[in-house]
Amino acid sequence: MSPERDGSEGDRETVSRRSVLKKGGLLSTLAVLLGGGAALAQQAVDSDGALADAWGDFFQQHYKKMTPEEVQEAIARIERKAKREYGVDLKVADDAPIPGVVFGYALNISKCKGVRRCVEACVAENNQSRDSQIQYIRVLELARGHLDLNRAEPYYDGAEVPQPNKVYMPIQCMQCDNPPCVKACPVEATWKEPDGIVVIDYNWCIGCRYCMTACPYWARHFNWNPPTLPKEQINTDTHYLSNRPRVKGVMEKCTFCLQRTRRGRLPACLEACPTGARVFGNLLDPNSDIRYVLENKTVFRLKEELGTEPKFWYYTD
Amino acid sequence: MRRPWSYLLPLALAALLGGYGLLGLQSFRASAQMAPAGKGRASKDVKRTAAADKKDAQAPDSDEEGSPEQVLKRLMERREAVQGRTLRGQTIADAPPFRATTREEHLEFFPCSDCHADQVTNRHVRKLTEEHEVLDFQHGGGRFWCYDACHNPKDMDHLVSLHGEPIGFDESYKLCGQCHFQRQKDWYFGGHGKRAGSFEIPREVPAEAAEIDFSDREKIGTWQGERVIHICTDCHDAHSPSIKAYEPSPPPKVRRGLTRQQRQEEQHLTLWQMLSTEHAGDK
Repeated sequence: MSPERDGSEGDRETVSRRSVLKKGGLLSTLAVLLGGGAALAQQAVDSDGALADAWGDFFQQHYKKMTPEEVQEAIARIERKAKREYGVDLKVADDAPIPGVVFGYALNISKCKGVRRCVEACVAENNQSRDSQIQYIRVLELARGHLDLNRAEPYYDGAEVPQPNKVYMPIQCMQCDNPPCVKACPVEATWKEPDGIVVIDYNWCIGCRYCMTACPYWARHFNWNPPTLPKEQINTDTHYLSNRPRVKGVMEKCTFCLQRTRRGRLPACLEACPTGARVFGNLLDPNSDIRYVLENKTVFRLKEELGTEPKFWYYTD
Repeated sequence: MRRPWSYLLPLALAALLGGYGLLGLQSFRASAQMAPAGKGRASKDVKRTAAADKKDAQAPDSDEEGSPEQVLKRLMERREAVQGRTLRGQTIADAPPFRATTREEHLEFFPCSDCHADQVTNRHVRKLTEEHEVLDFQHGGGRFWCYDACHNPKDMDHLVSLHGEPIGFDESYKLCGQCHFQRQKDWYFGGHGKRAGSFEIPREVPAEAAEIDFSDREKIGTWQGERVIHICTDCHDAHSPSIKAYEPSPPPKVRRGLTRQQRQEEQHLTLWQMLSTEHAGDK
């Protein structure tokens, strides 16, 4: 019943004020009740902190703009999420680039036999989805004497390799010194680190796939589906910019196993190669293996004419 | 009625064009003559002087006077000067320090003298039996026999160099490098072979990556710090050194919802095959 209808014209103002106060009291009581209820409900629903973490993720800054404390908070959120989703104790590192180091890679195509052990090691090391097309390394089978990538066969299969009159050429991210993918990104979610590695902030990526189109080496891959990752096969030794578990709708790429190489170790693909076709090292160290290869072997870079300045060389002996 | 200029005009045009053409040709000739006078001749001169200098420098070499020590000293000085100019040393002595993996502990029947000490040496080429039945002699197309270049019947616990010096099984790279010196040099500098990593012996790389033990830090290889390299026999079977064929890991998947297009088997013909097929088509 409204006060305007039952009250007289004279004390309308008083009634009106009283009713307003009443309403206000009621509303405030309701609000308090609701608020308490919401808090209680949140506690009941978000007992594991998933909602709070989602809230934190949503307002997370770009990796390069975060303070060290904010990065640690973000890492803690990632670790909690991995615990909830996979039940594993993930260790997310945030190793900075080593000063005076620029990584380079060389691959001996006269030694590569197309065994694809590098691919398997890469998938295992970098927590890639087991049930998708995403593989950072793609081994191409070419007819001997041809270097026409249009006629290359990445899906070769068979009892044994090498097949007669075939050569094998693995392609992966070349960590270009002039990376076209970085230029294409509209939100600066990808950039080149001081040690030459092109990385992605998976939390900042909007999944527009412009970088995928810009890359001439088929090195960038998109998570079309939520990654399938068996919990017993998760590599818990991860890095924020590298092999931490990804989500649907973001790009991912090879980072020369940042989580290993920034600690002085070798990339997983190199360790898995049974023929020793891969050479990795610091380009700025004149005594490194890679510098010997570059100075003494016949080397070439893939699609060098595009001006991307890849830091990945192929060589023969 | 045709006016006289109606056929004079094309003639005049032709004359003009011809004139321009001649002028163009002349200017082209002039520029061609100019070129050697400019850059080309200068570079030639430089080349000639460089060659002449070289000749002058080499001239005393041919009829060098002095004692052998003096000659040697001069040669060493020249070598050092060359090495100072190049970015890297040219011999394996200049290779960065390294440690090679060990082999003796992995040999099944080491020390060999346990059996061979009281056996009579049989130098005849034959099919080996007992412990050595598994050996496949493919090295050098089967041209080698045990004592030709590698083993010493008087000291079976060591390999033997071409000079007759003993070489331990842990240092087999010194033996192999006597013939495969180019590979050996690459190996010393890191261009051939493999750094010690997750696997004890590369020949025994697991078939599935799931078997790779990422937790075993002791076997992990590094790109910085101490260089630990696998020796030749970790990857190559000394008696049959070519790398054997492997079964490849499964091919990549196709994106969900898509199917893989079957690629047509392309023929890669040699030039004469192409010519012969064309010829057959003509018939």
